[in-house]
Amino acid sequence: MVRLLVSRLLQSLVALWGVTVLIFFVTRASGDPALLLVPPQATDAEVAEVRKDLGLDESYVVQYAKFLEGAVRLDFGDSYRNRRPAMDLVKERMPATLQLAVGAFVFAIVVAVPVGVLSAVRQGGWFDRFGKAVALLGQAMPSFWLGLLLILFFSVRLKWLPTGGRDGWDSYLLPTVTLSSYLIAVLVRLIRSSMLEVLRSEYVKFARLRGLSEYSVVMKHAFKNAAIPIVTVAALLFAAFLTGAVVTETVFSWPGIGRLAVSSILARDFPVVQAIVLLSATIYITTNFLVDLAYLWIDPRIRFS
Amino acid sequence: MNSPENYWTKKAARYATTRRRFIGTAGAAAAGATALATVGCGDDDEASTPTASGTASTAGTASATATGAASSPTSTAPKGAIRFAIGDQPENYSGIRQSGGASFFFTTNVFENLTGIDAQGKLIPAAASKWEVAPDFSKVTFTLRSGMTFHNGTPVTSEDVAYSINTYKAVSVFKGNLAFIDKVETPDAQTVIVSLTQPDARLITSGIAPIEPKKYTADVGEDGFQKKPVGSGPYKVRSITPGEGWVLDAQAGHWRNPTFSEATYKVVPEAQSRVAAIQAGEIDVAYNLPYLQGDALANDKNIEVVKHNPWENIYFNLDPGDSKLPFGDTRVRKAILLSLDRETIVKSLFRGNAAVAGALVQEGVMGYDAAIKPYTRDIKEAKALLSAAGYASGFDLQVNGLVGGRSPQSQQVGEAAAEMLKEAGIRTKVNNLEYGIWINTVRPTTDPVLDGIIFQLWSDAAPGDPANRILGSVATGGAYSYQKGQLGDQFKKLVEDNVKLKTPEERSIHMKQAFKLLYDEVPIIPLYHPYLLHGVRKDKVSWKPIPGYTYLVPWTGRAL
Repeated sequence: MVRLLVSRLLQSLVALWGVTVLIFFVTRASGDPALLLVPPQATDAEVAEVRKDLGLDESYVVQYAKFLEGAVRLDFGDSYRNRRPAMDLVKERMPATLQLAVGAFVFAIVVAVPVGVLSAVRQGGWFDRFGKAVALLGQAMPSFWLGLLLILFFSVRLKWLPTGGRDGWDSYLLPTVTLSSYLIAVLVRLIRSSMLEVLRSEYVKFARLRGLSEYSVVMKHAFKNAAIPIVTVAALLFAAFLTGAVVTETVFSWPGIGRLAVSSILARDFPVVQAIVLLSATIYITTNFLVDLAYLWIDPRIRFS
Repeated sequence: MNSPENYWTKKAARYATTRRRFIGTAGAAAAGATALATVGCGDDDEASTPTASGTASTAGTASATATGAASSPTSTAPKGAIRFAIGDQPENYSGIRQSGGASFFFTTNVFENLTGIDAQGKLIPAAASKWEVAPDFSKVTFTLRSGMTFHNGTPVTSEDVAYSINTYKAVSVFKGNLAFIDKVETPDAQTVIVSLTQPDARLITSGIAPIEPKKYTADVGEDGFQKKPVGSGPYKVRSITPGEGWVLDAQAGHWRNPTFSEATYKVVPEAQSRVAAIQAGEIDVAYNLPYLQGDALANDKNIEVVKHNPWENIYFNLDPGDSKLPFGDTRVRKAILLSLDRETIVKSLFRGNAAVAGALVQEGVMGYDAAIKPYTRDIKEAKALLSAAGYASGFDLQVNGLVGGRSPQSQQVGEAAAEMLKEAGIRTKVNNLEYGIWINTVRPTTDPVLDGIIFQLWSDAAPGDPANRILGSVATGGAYSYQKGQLGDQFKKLVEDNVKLKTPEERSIHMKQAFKLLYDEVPIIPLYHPYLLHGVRKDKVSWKPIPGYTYLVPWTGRAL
């Protein structure tokens, strides 16, 4: 097991290094940020001066070495546009993203687990049909559209909730529902199919024959065994939430990482883009690693294989 | 916002009854009255409208005296609150260090320049109560308003102005605009003498540099200044919430005539969400609405859709010096222009929210000549011109369009133009570019250089001095100029001579020659002047945008 963990850890570090190479060269290939900073009438000499100020006149090798050296210390340099440390900007936006991500994740779990489990237990019944409809709608409806519909209904028509922003408990509701809708849909489908498979297995039949309560059979024996794919998908989608839900943040004017990422990409603000991408990659890779660990806890067979 | 009073709390008050009815929760109480900061930005100058000729004419230059907005009996005391929703967040909160875009929404309210604009987009004195141009135009002497203070209470002195100009010249991305400044002297606390390397009237029309307090900046550092910016503009910063917006308090008695005692700017990136926010009554002014939404909102009895002309010019750039394309021939250039049905573009793609461009200059901008009328489409004439130029069977042409939200309908315009040109026999191919890619390829000095015609933007922002733009985009050597021959040199000479003239009247008459040449020779293909649509809650506020000024502001420059 230790060997497995060490191997996973090494793989994670290699993946992270790969991300640094990729993001460094992809940003450089996307265009010259100096041209986006200067006014239209700036001369070539002025553009060259800005390029020098930003350190973009140095060779790629030198720029990469500086980026890598800084990244180890979580210092990605100053944002080209804001002239402030890129990491400070990311830190400023992280709480908003974290709050939205956790809220949406918890909401998705709270809704998806009972709906998915009940859909499987009552296969073919009206609740199952309801569960399938929820899954279908959630996956088919773009979050952009859902967000606007919610705003139009709850904010414009009923005037119950704010159209956007992040101020007060009520401002969390619509973005949370919008962001979680896709995860709810995915989880309901996944939980339902996993549960159906497990519920047909011999050990569940045996549990029933032992006279255990239905709750104990379903939640203690069946659900735990159906959980592995659910944990994987839920964790990775949670990681995606943490690294910024661009569409939801834009529709609801939510000041999170996703909006910062998009505006920085459009402005070719390399330090901020590099900081966000590397942070996102770290979150993904760490989540994957934690998922591997979770497997060991959920399924003892993996531990002993 | 962290402030106890902001648009959310007011919104809560407005919805309280509804929410009580539905969810049994008491709405938040509306906030109390705003505490008005009354830092002494008062003005002791009683004189009226500036400029040498005694009228606030376009982009004035020569000696001028300040308007006495603050002390004028017609000035209005700021009252009430206004809430703007804009599309982007400022990237920087320093007037000197900002690099444009949404930062202007902030800096234009908080900082003061030596010269400024009024509600009509006309040049007026600002921090300088008057200025005097030396007979040989080697220097300009500015006299600062007396009693002027920064928002932290310290006086604005000539030393602060000199520091700001020098810092701007050293660090600003716009420093090229002040390249003609040789040195800045401060003989006393109220006087600033700016020496020029060569006469250049753009010194006055540029506003020079936003004034920031030297000592305060040194005390708090660049980072500290970003967190708590201090200026001498009509509004003082109450709070800034990164990514969300900011709240400002009016400086009562300020000569720029702040009209609302409190101004909130809320960042709402999605246009549809801005529409929803104004419909829900959460904001008072929604910036830059999609044209379709404008029509829909016009039916709302509480909302007025305001058409705002930011004095923007959209045109196709082309390269007369490119041997692969026949752009060196005026007949071909004119044929391209005559092939385009710009009326249809304006009517169909802009739903009338734009004007067909004549000589790429609009009323209000220096050099505007009402006698110059836009060309109308004439396919027969276009074909005849092509035939006379030896291109009866047309030629291959790439139309380089721009995609994204930088300019409304830009992608559709490129595609429509390509189809229209086909009718004249020009075989077109569309190449749409994202803004970042576009700006990396449209400069004639970049590699690879774009072939064909290129979608371009040109804004003659208030106070409407087009010299920088002509030099940058049309005259030989300009950053976006593809002109290499005699025509480009002619433009260069015209504008270089123009900026040496001292009075706005002289400059305007002279500038007309440049625009007439632009009209006759068609070195670029003028398309249209797009308007912005803003939604205004007419049941809550009375507010109008400033022509030629993209940024929404709660001041009028002088009492109306």
